[in-house]
Amino acid sequence: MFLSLRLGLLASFTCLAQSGIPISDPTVIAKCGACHKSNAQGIMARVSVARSTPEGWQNVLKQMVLRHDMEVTPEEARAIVRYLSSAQGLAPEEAKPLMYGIERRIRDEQTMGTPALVRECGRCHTLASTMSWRRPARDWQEIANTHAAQYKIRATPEALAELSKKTELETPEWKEWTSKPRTPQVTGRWLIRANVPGRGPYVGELAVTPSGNPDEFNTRAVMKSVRDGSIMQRTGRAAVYTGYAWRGRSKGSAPAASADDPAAEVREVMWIAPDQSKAEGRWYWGQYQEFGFDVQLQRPTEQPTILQTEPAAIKTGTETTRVRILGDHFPTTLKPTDLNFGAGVTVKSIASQSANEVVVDIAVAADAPFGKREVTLATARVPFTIYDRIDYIRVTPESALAAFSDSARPRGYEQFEAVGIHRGPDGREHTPDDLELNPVDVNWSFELFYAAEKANLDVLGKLSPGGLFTPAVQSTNNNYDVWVIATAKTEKEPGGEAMVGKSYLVLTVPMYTLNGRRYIRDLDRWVDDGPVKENQ
Amino acid sequence: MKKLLTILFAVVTLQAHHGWAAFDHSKTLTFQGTVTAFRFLNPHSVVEFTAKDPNGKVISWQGELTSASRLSTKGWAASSLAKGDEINISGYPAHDVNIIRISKLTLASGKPLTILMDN
Repeated sequence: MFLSLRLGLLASFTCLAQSGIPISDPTVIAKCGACHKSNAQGIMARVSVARSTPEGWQNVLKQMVLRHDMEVTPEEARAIVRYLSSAQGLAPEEAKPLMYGIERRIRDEQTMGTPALVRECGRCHTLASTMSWRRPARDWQEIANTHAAQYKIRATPEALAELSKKTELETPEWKEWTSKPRTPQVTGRWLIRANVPGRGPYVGELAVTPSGNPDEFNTRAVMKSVRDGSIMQRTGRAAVYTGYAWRGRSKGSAPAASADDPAAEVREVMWIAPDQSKAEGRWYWGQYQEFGFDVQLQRPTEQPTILQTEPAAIKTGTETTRVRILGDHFPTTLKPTDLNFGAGVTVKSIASQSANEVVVDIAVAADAPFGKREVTLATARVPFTIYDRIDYIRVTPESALAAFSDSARPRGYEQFEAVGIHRGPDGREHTPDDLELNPVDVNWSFELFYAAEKANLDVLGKLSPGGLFTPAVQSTNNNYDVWVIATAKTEKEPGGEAMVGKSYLVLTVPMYTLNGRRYIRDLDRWVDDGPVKENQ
Repeated sequence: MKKLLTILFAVVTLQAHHGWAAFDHSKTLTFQGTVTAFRFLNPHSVVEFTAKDPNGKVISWQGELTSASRLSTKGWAASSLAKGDEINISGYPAHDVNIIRISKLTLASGKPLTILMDN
């Protein structure tokens, strides 16, 4: 299996230019070949002229099982997905812009294509999933024909032309990536930096060990909450597809105590850099994948590495502020002059130091230049921000979704955060150069757009002191527009009133029926689940 | 196989959420107002502003627009309006609350901002 995968990779581009990618895996030939005929060169109809992510191949395999009665065991399905996503996958550079879709992040895709493409493909699919497929123009035309016949949805020539141009089967990136064997080099020790909305940053280590299969691994992570110092241990297993596409599962050593407990079992999706020195992605959980770690991995070196400072931004005119610097391989004989925070910042003293954490007291001059800068220690560096005031509060996510539960689906939560924002170098608020500062201590509340005063909001849900919105157990069978409001405890507007930030939350039902069909929420859209059946 | 239908916000508008049916399109209110906040968001962007009522009392209003996604195709950005901006604003009122669906918005300079009324 492994040998055939390597041969497939090496052979793929050579034959690509002529008629497609030859299929060499016996499981794919046996299972897909029943319908997709191959020629003497191993070119399999339709299959040989497509490339996609592991998720893309997994979804098409599901479609074959559900719609075309393909019979396949779980082991065979895994082998097929593994082969196709490696021999006919995406190059790392092709996959990177689409990772948000696989990481289950909600993103506005309006700027990903012309209005025609956004309107026609985006009507039903995320563009991330559509554009994760690479095909020749004639194959896109076949798919358009199928859509017209099955769904009565017709693609315009303009949208088809754009799609074909943006998703070519043959690309320099894929040619380069398949020019040599790509054995994942992921075993050993990694440093982790992660952030969990509502819980703040974590730092730690990930140990990756072989599992016995060349592209599958066992994992063990130890992560420390920067905010409260609690330690979380996680164990799991991961596969690496195409030499860089990390897909894993892990869970904490203790059972999750609540829906938002990061000890939960998570799905891990990461993009490993081509040189295998770093990785980034999301480890998520929840009915709608609404909870997650934003994760970055990097390889340790013999030199110090700074992972995080706490806080990550400090105000000008501060006489003494304690800053924790967390990382790896720190010398334990540091002097204040070994640390550099840039112009206008003085390291007054080192309160404590170890190989993983240095605690310093710094002073920031009133006229220190504000903006982004770096803290450096020898060759190590990490972003840091100096600001003169908080100009406004941003509540994230700025647009949000939460869902009631029903008999089949748990609730969909939403975790909010309030972050201080500085106007940035251009002096104007709400522009791209605005600077994100630290979390702001706020009181959380919510209100309906159209509610009468003193309306009972308990029927909708609760917003915790930490900003977690939990929909009510009992669905009201309706949708609501809700302002989630963060009122700063200490930060004031120039006029003296408390600073306020808002997020627009749509609280919705998990399922509804329309014209005899049932629609089920999936992330930020609805899945047509077919005709309403009895007892539904 | 399941078929993805359409984005949530469009579907939600079909259901309750707050389709534009919540507004009385037979009436138009017009204000000389002052922006207190501009929230460039999905599924609706919102202009919060104050204006004086006939008795001179300052009243807070919320003016609703279409989504930030759609507005951005017409040149709107999160900085298109700022706190303190003087505006001339018209719109259709919602029932029983100080909310309008914005139909026209002009800056103090006389520059009109493009309003999308088809969604």
